[in-house]
Amino acid sequence: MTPEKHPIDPFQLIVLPADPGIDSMIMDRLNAAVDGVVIPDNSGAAPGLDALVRAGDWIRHGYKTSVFMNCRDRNRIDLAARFRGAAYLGVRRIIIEAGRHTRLGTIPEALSVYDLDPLQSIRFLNMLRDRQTGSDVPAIGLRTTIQDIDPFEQERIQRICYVKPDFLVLSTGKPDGHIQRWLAMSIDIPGFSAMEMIWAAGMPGELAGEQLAIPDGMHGIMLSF
Amino acid sequence: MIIATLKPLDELVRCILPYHRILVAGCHTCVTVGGVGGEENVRITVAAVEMAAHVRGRSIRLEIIRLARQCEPEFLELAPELQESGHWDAILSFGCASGVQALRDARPDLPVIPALNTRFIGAPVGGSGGRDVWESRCVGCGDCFLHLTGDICVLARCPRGMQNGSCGFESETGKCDVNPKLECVWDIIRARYHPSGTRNGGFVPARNWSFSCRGGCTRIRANRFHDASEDSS
Repeated sequence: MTPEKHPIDPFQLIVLPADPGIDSMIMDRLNAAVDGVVIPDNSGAAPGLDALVRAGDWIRHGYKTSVFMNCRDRNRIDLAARFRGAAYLGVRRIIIEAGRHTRLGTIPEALSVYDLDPLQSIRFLNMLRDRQTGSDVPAIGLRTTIQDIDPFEQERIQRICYVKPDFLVLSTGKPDGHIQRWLAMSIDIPGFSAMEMIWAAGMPGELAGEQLAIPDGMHGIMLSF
Repeated sequence: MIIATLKPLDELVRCILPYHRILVAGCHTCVTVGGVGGEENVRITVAAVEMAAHVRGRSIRLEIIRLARQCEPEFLELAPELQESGHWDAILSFGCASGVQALRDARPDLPVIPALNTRFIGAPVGGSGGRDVWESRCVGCGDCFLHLTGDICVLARCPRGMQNGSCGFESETGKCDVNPKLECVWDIIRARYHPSGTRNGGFVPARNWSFSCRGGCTRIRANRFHDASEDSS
């Protein structure tokens, strides 16, 4: 049964610890005050409950989900399997990022996979999606930071546009003027305007100081960053 | 240059304790330049191992031979000590992992104990005389794309192997978050950036890891011009 949505401040961010054991308590407290949740993927390079398993639980309770998927822990076979799993579960969006390095996590001796970097992961998943039948496939986005404006930055944006993510989750600790300059520089790059933009303060993998919104009019909470 | 480090003394002693007569083989190519396989280092290590074994009540005979290069059979044939049968219980190799395996191929009857941990293909970056500190420069991916990344191997020098721009975790001062002593390689790439002129906005496509050692045992035929196909013969 889909719970009735209660109006809340769309910029409210609810932050909870990584322990998935309290998800049911969160759901009770939220009481459908938000439409969607953002679910991390082994955040801080510490293994947690599989993000898709966790997403499935939230979806069953009527929430829309955005699932983080980082390339640190998986090769392209696993990425493909997880992408298909996400589509099967009804995950709305997948956000790709690099993630905290294995050596900074709780199992530093584990092998860092990095078969694909985030842009290569998006290109790979896009190719996979093109071959996928059916319309209920997740949108694929990239979480990245706005770099200082330098000669390479424009090529970096070109590379992002080349792999065609559906949306960009941009993190920046820089002042607004920096963002405006970055946008002005990027807007003429072919494919840039086709991407949806989501803003988040802070760095990838860290707690965003402001809301990480889920687009399409969904309000979101981010769990356990 | 193949760079190696000496195994911890305790581990080395544990490995050699079951044997009585050990031939110690140095290697005077890569690992010597890298500071661990040369004659002086071998002598110092052997003395320490002998002493540690003695403390544990064991008397072990260790004899050192000098090999110019352990990884090529022709150089091994030049060492008469290696051809002697019945003289040795084991060989202690101060070569890289390739040298250890070549020694075992040459003497299948003798166990070969690696004295070194083979680390990476690297270059000197500083320290005393400019040769004390070595840094990784290549992971042997078999699919070189240095021309797209300012001639810096991001697979060897970036912990995340970011091939299309930095991860965003670097500090404000441009230091790597995984090893704050190191500069973010993407900062170095930016400093020497020149538009690549390639198609696809310079996008670096996914590596084909089947060309690397991570893709299983690889064999290639040398001296093939413009043909990197695997040798199936």
